[in-house]
Amino acid sequence: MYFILPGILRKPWLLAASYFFYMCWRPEYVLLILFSTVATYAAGLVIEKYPKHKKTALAAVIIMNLAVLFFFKYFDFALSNLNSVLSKLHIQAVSKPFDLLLPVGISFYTFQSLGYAVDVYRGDIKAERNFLDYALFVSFFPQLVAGPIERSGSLLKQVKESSKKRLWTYDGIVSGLGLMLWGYFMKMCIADRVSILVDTVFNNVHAIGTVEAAAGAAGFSLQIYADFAGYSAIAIGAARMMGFSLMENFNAPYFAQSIAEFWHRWHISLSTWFRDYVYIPLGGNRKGRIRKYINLMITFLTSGLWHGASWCYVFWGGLHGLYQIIGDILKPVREKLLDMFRVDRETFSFRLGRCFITCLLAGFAWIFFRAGSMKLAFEYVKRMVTRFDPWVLFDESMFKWGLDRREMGILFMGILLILAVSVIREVKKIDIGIFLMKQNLWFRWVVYIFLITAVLVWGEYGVDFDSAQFIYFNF
Amino acid sequence: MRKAVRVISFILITLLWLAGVYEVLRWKDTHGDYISSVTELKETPENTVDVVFVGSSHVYAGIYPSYMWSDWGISAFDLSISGMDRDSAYYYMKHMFKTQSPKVAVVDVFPLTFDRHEHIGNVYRNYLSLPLSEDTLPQLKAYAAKDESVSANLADYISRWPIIHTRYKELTVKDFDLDAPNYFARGEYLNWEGEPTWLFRPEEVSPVVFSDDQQKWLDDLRSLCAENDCKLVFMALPFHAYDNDQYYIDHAAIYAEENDIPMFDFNRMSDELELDPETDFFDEGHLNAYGAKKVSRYMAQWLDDNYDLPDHRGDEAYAVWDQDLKYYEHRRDGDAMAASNDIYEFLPIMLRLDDTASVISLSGEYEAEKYSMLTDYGLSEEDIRNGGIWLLKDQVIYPIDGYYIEELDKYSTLKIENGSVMINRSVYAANDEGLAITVYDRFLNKTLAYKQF
Repeated sequence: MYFILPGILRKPWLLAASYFFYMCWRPEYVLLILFSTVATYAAGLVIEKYPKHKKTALAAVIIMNLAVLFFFKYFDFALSNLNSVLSKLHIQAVSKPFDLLLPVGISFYTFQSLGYAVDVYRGDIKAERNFLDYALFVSFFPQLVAGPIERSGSLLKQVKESSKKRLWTYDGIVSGLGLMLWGYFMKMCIADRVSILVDTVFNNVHAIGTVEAAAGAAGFSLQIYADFAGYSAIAIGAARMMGFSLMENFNAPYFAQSIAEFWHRWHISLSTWFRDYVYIPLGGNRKGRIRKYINLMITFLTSGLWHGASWCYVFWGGLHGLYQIIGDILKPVREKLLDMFRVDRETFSFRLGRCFITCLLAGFAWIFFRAGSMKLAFEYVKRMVTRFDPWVLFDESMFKWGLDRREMGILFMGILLILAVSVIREVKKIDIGIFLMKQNLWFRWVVYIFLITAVLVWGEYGVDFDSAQFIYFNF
Repeated sequence: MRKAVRVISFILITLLWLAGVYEVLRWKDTHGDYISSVTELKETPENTVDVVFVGSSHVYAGIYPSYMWSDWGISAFDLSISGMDRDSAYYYMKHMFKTQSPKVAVVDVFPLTFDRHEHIGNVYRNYLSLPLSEDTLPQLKAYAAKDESVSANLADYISRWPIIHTRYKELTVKDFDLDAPNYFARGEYLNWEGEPTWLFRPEEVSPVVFSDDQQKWLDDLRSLCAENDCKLVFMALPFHAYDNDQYYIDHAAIYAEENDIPMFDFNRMSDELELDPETDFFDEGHLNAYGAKKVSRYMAQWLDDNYDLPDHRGDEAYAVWDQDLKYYEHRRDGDAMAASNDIYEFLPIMLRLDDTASVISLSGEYEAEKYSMLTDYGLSEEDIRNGGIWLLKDQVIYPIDGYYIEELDKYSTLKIENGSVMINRSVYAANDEGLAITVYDRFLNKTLAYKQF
């Protein structure tokens, strides 16, 4: 419909489609996105019109939006923590007054609309006057439920242009479709497949040894990447088909050579959001080393909490903050050791080693992200370092972790493909959709048909399969 | 314009490719052995089936159309699927009437004894074996009304892909190249194995009443057969019936009598047919070939006595029934050879089977006199004394010296080298002591027997 409608109707159609999409899950929660939209839209106008009160307006809209987010996402968490303190003080616990279901995508659209309010406050953009344009910016369906968290300077501008000229092109549609196909492949053939192994390991922490634990952590590192990067590819591809350009969200993150670089490549739209709207306003690295470390910890602990209402996520964020602080502190020692042993920093092996260590650190942190509770996470780590069981690599035990030989084979092939696509991204600096678009017709078609067939045949879906949701839908 | 052509070409190529993939992945059996009575029906020339037997595994295990063909020339067909339920029976008959116009439809009333499938595999077998048609949705709605797992996944059932795509885990050569009996067999499941069982026959008159659905099913069958000018007959093949099961069958007999429909309850007629629970059953639910022979012959005689069923033997249009008979004979003889340890019993069977290649090998230390009967099959006494390897094909025997290789059919290659006999990667005789015989059946595309005497 979008492609055949006249320009004037395209935006209303997209807006209606976006709201319909959101309401498909729980219609009443549409009020939340509407509230966030109206509040930040009005705040933008007030900030611009009354510069003297812009601080108050910004503070008010931030508090209002975060209050809604807190209520729906963190209330239960806060209450359970309060009750655990009360129980230690032998005071009667506060009973839970109601059950809440986390609204899909609330963390994403709340941050996107707050980013807009801050941009207007800083004078980076003008306040949007057209409410429909703004509402579409907040609710644009391809990225509504799990990002990328767009910036007003980019998406809002494109929304405004969409009625004036035709944004889509043949190449955009084809490369968008290619990117979407790759996203479905990552999600349905890789993430959902490796999740079977990961679930088996994490649901049997009492029975795992070193190798299973390492495989579970590595598996989850792959799962969450294939899941979230897959979703992002689908979102970016769908938007590209309609002529909208969304920001890149993943850039071969496991090729990073440090944790700091990892965060330049992983969930880029969120990490840059935290950089621009939390870390830099806190002073960034401009106020001395200690303050920089404090700012880093605040940013990463908040980022952890953004991912979920659990101490596991906070710990995970904290670990990433700590990695960077320790890395920074140890940098002179590291450099000295490298000089002492005359290690050539320009070699592939050196970069590979750094990349490997970064993956190990990120993989270790993922244990806390996945475990479900701190107790289980520590039990997991304990078993990983105390139950050395290398024989499981040779006695076929690994094929009892939920995936048989055939499934392991498919998974292995999927990993090789992810590796190949990551190399393409690294070398060519373009995504797989655009890369394929630039190839000869026969090659493109073979890849498209392979991906379609792989998703339809090897995808984990259907009557006998309880396909996992996209993990980030929960955030 | 160029872009439009490109897009259309891509879509067409992709659809063609996916159709090929679907053909490989699609559900292919009704019996659990890669043979589908629906495919067999599709391969049957139009309007050649005179009698159709409809029902579950009881039917494919208990009615062998080959018995009816060999002695009466009746062109019968088993339209049977494991666990065939009431809705399936109705829709499979509807499907059959699109290409066939049988004079008699004999329906097993066993589906009256259950409402929903116990095994999901039987839901798949019953639903996925039928091609998509205008009846698919009504059939699915009927299933969904009785089975929550179907109603909860209706979209998956309609599109079929979400169900069949996981078959990539179990693909075999038969998914790429259909097993030969699909092209000619008549729906039966041939089986000579058996285990003793016993039949339970309550004495009381049925105290049950039919539910609306059961009643409707019987009424619908009557209407469907009347619309297609086909005589309806009910039967219940013998099985170990529990109280309720037998009560529903008894109640069906009352319904049949009220509506002037012939009905055969073989559970209650087992004495009349001299069915022996010790030898005539494969298990407590199914007859084997010996029991099927008694029931099939009884039904053939009754059908021949009561309906105008022409003898089609010798008619080219009915060649599939000849092939089915040949299939039956090869399976029967193969089974007999595999079970036999008596060379005097084994050799005549081997000789009478056409389309076979048998390798006879005499090696090592042995008493030549023990194998003197081989002179009747073309070997000289000197041959028997000296030993060697011979190939028996089309009742002619050839000596094999040194290295020999022959493609037996498109699946199998025979290699004889240094006294060892190999068919594909299986070694059947490697300088055994005495006589070893390997019989390969080119009609069934498999090794029938490997015996040492």
